[in-house]
Amino acid sequence: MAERPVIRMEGVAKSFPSPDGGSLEALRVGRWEVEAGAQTALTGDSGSGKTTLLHLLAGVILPDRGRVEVLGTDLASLPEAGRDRFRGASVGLVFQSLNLFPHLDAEENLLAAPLLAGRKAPGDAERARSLLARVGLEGRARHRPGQMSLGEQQRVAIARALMNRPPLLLCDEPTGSLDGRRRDEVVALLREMAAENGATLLVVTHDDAVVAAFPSRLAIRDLAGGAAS
Amino acid sequence: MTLERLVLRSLRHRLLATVLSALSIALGVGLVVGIDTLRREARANFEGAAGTWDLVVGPKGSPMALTLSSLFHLGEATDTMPVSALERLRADPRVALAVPVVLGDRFHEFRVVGTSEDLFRAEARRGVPIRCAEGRPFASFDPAARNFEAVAGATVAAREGLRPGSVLTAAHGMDERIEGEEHDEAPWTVTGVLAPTGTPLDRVVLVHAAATWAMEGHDATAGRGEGAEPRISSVLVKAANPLLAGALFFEVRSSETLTPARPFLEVRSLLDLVGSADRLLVAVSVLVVVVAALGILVSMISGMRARRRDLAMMRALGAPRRVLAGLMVGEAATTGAFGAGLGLLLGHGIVAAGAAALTEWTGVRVRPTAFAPEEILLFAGAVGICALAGLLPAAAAWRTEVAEGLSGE
Ligand SMILES: Nc1ncnc2c1ncn2[C@@H]1O[C@H](COP(=O)(O)OP(=O)(O)OP(=O)(O)O)[C@@H](O)[C@H]1O
Ligand SMILES: [Mg+2]
Repeated sequence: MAERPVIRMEGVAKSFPSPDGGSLEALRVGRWEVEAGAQTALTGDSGSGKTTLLHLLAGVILPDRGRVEVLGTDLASLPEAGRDRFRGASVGLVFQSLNLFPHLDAEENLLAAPLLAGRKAPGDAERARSLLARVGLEGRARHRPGQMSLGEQQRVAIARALMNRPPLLLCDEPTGSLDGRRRDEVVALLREMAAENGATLLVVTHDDAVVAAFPSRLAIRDLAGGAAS
Repeated sequence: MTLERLVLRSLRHRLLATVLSALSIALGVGLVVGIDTLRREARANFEGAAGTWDLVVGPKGSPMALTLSSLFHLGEATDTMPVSALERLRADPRVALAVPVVLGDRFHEFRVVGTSEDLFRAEARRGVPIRCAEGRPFASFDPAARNFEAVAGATVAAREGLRPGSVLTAAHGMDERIEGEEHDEAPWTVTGVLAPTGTPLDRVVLVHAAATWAMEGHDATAGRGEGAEPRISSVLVKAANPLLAGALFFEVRSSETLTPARPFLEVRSLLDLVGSADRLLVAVSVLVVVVAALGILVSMISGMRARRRDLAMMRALGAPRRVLAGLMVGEAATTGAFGAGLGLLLGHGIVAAGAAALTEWTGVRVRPTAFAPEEILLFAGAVGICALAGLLPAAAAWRTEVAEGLSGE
């Protein structure tokens, strides 16, 4: 592959202080690369470090050791404000639930993304409307999260994660609070929209049905040892 | 979408807390504005009404009480003095104008003031002449003609429906709550109605002093025997110039039987006395604003837990810490601005209500719309205090860690 990998991790370890005064290793990654455009499902037991991995990739936390490169940028080399800017520009995040600002309606939630990332542009309102239409919520622009179902909220969250056209879309149990049919719809939508927007997609899940929908699957315990892609 | 809009949306989301906080700010600001405007306006008007006369000369007693009863028709006239004192003052070359004040009668709740036609040469307050808007001043009393003529103040006329030609009957005693004996015979005929002056004159009925002495059953000479000299309550004096006013003051002060009062100074010292009380009120009101700002702080801090996730979400979307802190200060300052704006309106509402009461009581008129330039400072100050109160929530928002805020759903 001539293209630079979107994700590159090498010799990464991350520990957290534990209440008894010691420290607890949350994640260890030997060598790992993800190429542009890949759609990967990441699985692992509870507490195996999946969320920690996503936080490292989003520049929300820094590794104790090793190198985390996203889109060719060594995140540890950036100051905090730089990582904020990087995240706003390059990474879209979707969580299990409560993704949206409860006091803003669907369209405002989308517009908050460029606003808070400091990337407002003239076409924002139009893009927000077309993304909402794309996730099937054309008529719900003025609805606040409390007025939408969980599945609808997740679709708004996906649309918002793509507002700033990030090259990398990270999802942490995005279907965790949805039932079977809604789950399949959301997974399909995620994959389609990542492809349409040219974003590399990494989805953390422990749902086998979700894993089955992805061409590329990865167990987090396999990362500790060595290479995977 | 703008950060300002985000602030407003967030305030709307916590509407009750926002409204309560803004109301408490409004209360404090309103009190400051209300008390301060009333104080300023009342002072200007009281001093204005007192400033047209250099001296009030009355029987031995308190100069303050003399000023209040003669010029503002507040309180009882203490005693009386012989009319010869008036004549001596009129004869004095240093005196430009001297008019008697005879108190003791009332028409419903309004006082009837015996004076002379010379009063119409004076001013009600600086720049406001005493003149009839309708009809003419009363004529000098002629005992043979028994012309009991009266001029009604603007408020009296409006309230009682008096016009030139109306007839009214006065009663004894200045306290309307005490049933007085009516002078049934020879009622007063209204010859004129005064133009409004915004002074206590609006609330009196003016008659000729000599007419009051001739009024049946009047006790101007009571207890002093037939043919005794008529008595008056006081004399209002305008000196030929201020230096002479001072000389007159000291001369009268050395008299055995008379008291001089310099009304402007008496009013000023009274207002200074009241002033220290309303400075305290203003201080308390400022304290109300500060406490209200603390209320904003407390409500924001206690709402912080619930907002932890929202704040973490903002950072997940790439917002730097300073934006989060700015939003908190913005929310506090915006609440303060709403409250302070409302407070300015409230303050002038307080002034309007207070002005009505003050006018009702003294005739002194206060403009509720008298916006002072200091109000801009007050507004800015209130917003500033609230913004300061937002700094603590801002610090808490600053410390938001994305990872922690997003875990634990
Ligand atoms: N901020 C933190 N402080 C201390 N320990 C932490 C912190 N964040 C994570 N950990 C620990 O690190 C380990 C990995 O946590 P992580 O959240 O990454 O797991 P996970 O794979 O996402 O689990 P789950 O599937 O339950 O979400 C856990 O043992 C957790 O207790
Ligand atoms: Mg997790």
